[in-house]
Amino acid sequence: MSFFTSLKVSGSALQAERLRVDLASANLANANSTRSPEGGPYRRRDPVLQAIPLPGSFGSELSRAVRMVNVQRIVIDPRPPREVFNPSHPDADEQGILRLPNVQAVEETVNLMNASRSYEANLAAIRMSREMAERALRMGK
Amino acid sequence: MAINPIEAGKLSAPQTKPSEGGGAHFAEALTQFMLEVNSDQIKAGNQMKQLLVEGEGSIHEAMVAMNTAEGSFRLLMEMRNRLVAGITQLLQTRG
Repeated sequence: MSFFTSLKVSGSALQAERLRVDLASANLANANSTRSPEGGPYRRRDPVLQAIPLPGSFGSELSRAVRMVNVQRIVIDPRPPREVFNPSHPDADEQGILRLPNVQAVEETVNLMNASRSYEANLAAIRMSREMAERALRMGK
Repeated sequence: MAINPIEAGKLSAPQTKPSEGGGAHFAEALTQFMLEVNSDQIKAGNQMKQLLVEGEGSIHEAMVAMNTAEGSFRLLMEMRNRLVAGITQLLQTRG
C-alpha cells in the first residue's frame, strides 16, 4: 500500500533530519569544550546517511526501487582543532597554546537551517500523500 | 506515421478464475486486515504512551504511527460501509 510506504519512507527521513539537528546542536553546544572522554578538545561530528531498501520489499521492481534513509554511522571531523594563545587556561600546553574544538558556529547554523528545511520538506511529503489517500477514499461519494 | 484503429475484437473481458470456497477466503482476508488495523492502533497507542508518560521516543514517530493507524482505520471503515450498503441493497431486491 503506497500510502503506508510513503509514510514509512518520510518517517525515516524525519528521523534522520532530527538526528542531524541533534548533532548540529551538540556541535554548537560543545563549541568551547576543551575536554572530552576521548581526551583533548571536543571534535565535531557528522552523520553519514545511507539509502536502504524498505524492510520486506521483495515484491515488484517498482516497490524495490523505493528507498528509505538510514543513519549508517556518525563520523568525527578530521580537521585540526583551533589553536589560541591563552596561558591562563588549565588545558593550555607548556607554550600557552589552548586547543579548542574544530566547530565553526556559522557552519553549524547553516547545517541546522538545512536540516530544518529538509524536515519541513518531508512533512510536506507526508501531508501530500495523506491528502491523496483521503481523496482516494472519497472517490465513491 | 500509421494510426491503427482500435480493434474491439481483440479486447476481451478479464478472465477470472473460479475460486474454491471464495467466501471463506474473503472472510479470512477481512479478519487479517482487521487484525492489522488493530495492531496499528495498538502501536500508535503505545508510541503515544511512551512519549507522554515515559518521555521517550519522538513526536514525529508517534505522529507517523497515528497517521498510519488513522489511514488503515478509515480504509477499514470505508470497506465496512460498502459491505453494509451492498447487503442492504441485496435485501431490498425481495420487496
